[in-house]
Amino acid sequence: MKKYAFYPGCVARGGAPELYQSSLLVLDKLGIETIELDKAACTGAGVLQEKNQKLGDVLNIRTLAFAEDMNLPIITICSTCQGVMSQANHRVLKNPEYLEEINSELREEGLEYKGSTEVKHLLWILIEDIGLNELQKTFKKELKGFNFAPFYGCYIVRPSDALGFSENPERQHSLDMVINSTGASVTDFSGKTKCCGFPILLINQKNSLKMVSNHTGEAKDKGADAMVTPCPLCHLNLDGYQGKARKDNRGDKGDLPIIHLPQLLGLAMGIEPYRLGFARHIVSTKDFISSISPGERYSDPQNFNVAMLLGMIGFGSLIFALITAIAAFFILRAILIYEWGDNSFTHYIDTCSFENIFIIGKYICSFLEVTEKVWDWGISILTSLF
Amino acid sequence: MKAVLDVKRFDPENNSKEYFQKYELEVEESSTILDALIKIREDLDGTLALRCSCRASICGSCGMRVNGSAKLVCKTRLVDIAPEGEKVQVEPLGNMPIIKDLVVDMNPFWNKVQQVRPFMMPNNTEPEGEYIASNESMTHLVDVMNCIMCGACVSDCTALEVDESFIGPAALAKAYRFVADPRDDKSKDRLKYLNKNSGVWDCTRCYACVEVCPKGVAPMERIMKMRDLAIEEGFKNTSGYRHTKSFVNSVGKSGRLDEARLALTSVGFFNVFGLIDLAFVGLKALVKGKLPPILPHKARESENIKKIVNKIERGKG
Ligand code: SF4
Ligand code: SF4
Ligand code: FES
Repeated sequence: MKKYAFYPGCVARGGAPELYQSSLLVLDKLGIETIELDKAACTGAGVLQEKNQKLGDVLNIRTLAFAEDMNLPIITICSTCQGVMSQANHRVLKNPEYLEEINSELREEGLEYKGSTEVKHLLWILIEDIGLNELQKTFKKELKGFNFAPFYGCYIVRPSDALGFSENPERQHSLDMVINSTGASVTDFSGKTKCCGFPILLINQKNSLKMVSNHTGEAKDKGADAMVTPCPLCHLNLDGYQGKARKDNRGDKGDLPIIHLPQLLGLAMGIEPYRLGFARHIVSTKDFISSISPGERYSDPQNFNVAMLLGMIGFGSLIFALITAIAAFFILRAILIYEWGDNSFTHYIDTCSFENIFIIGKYICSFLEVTEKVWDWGISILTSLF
Repeated sequence: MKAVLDVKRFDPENNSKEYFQKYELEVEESSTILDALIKIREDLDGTLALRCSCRASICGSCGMRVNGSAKLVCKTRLVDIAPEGEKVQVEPLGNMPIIKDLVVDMNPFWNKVQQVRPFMMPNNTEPEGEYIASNESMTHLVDVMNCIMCGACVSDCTALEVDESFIGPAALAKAYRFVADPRDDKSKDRLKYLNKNSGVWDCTRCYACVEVCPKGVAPMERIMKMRDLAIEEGFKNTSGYRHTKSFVNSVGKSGRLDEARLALTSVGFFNVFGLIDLAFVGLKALVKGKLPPILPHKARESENIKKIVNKIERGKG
């Protein structure tokens, strides 16, 4: 029995629950025992690092230290988490002084990182620790005749010096190798190691969606039945926004199922599709699943119907309240900018606090804080309900 | 050793379409890809167009794509790419118009470099002697100054591929070289310009430029640095800024990323259309049972994480 410290990552525990659920099933079939690192922080996904690299490194080295204390290597199921943790590890290992600086921040919690933790994505573990032959022994169903387009995600292929490619060169083609081992064929396409666009989705949506459309469109044109990715962030964009992206950029329908690596393994292992969460995709996987496992149950039994309804009402009313508030603020903002010039408004938002409600700008700030509080309360009420 | 090169050919003057031509030849064990290409031109096919000069990775004129990723072909040995004499694909750089075969038009590249005003702009009149700058203030710029303007990074930039107005890695790295130079007095203006105008916030953080740069310039890391500097200079009215700030807040609060909050705050509370758009995406996700985003997971003992975030973020000033 192989044992690992499990770092699922925020997205698997958030926006892509189907990844988490399918991973647990697959790990079990592979005979991998895990202990979840539930005290670990978000890796920062590169965003936190751009603001404050040291903060990112402290949080990630902290995670590595937890695993070191348990004497276990870390298993991840997210390309981005893999990359960001590998980079942090790479930085401290080549610079002992920096490691000491990071450790001095961790000592308060009784932690110290010595530098021995290995971080490995499930994808690499399949090849390096389990072996494709052993992996194939767990497969019950041949996926011959199906074509899968591999989509790696930037952080599991670059920057290569942090990812151990020189010692483990097969890592560069790991996803292709795993797809082949299921008996399916690989659809090679130019976008497979490019950016999915997710990091700029909220910053420059037009560019982001062009990427989604280029990659999914090209893979589709080359005959892929589905795209497989070891990165849930790529999944969020390629799945969640494919409809809009393809419509805006190619004028066709977003119809290429984007599946998580463990879901692919699960299918090959003969796990029922409904247990792998295929109904939780935005781009429908129904036709794809029925061509692989005709007649099998597809929908998730644990459909959160009530939760969904409540959530929708809550979300809906929140948005309504927000829009009303926004309308009011638009006017106030216009007044402010008219009165005090271009930067005054953002300045007040950054410096506001509950204490001094003296001028109009402060009112707006406090309202924003209240909105955030209400959001928090809403969430805690919902959390306590389920 | 045997070399098999699959070279992309294109000759717009004779109205040809792009196609690949295969060349097989014998080369020395120590040959670079450039050596092989030159041998092809000299011995096999005089019509093959390529650009090179120094043959020692100094001039930056021999950038090409080898097996899909940009390289200086004079710095790339054939044995390292194809130890068993496998076929090697050679194409011109990407994201630039092709003039003929392996020669691209670098004009768009130079225009972008000019766009960032790549020269020193001090406020004062010239000093008596030389400009004085401390060692520490210059050493971290050494790698950036190593740039040989080869265009490899621009070729493989994934943001440029979808948006040709993006200033791009080489020019942004060059901009950083002046932003961070203590002798330049226009840093704030530079940052103000780069904060908008398809500048620092359009990079997708894909690491392609860092990976392919033959000189260790690491353009992406410079871009990230400028994002932070722009924020410190007070340029905050960007979704990029809100996105980063909200991300840090979210990790500080729960130890984890709260996607729903992140989306809301990045789009901005004042962007009505953006919010409506977001609401639709949110609803779609809810219907599909992707409920958890609005019920964020907290890390166990997240107070510890909060402490670290507060301390280090504040320590930075
Ligand atoms: S990291 Fe940014 S600048 Fe560099 S290649 Fe990627 S998108 Fe372009
Ligand atoms: S940054 Fe590197 S890859 Fe880009 S032009 Fe300069 S030397 Fe070439
Ligand atoms: S020929 Fe000058 S850099 Fe390659």
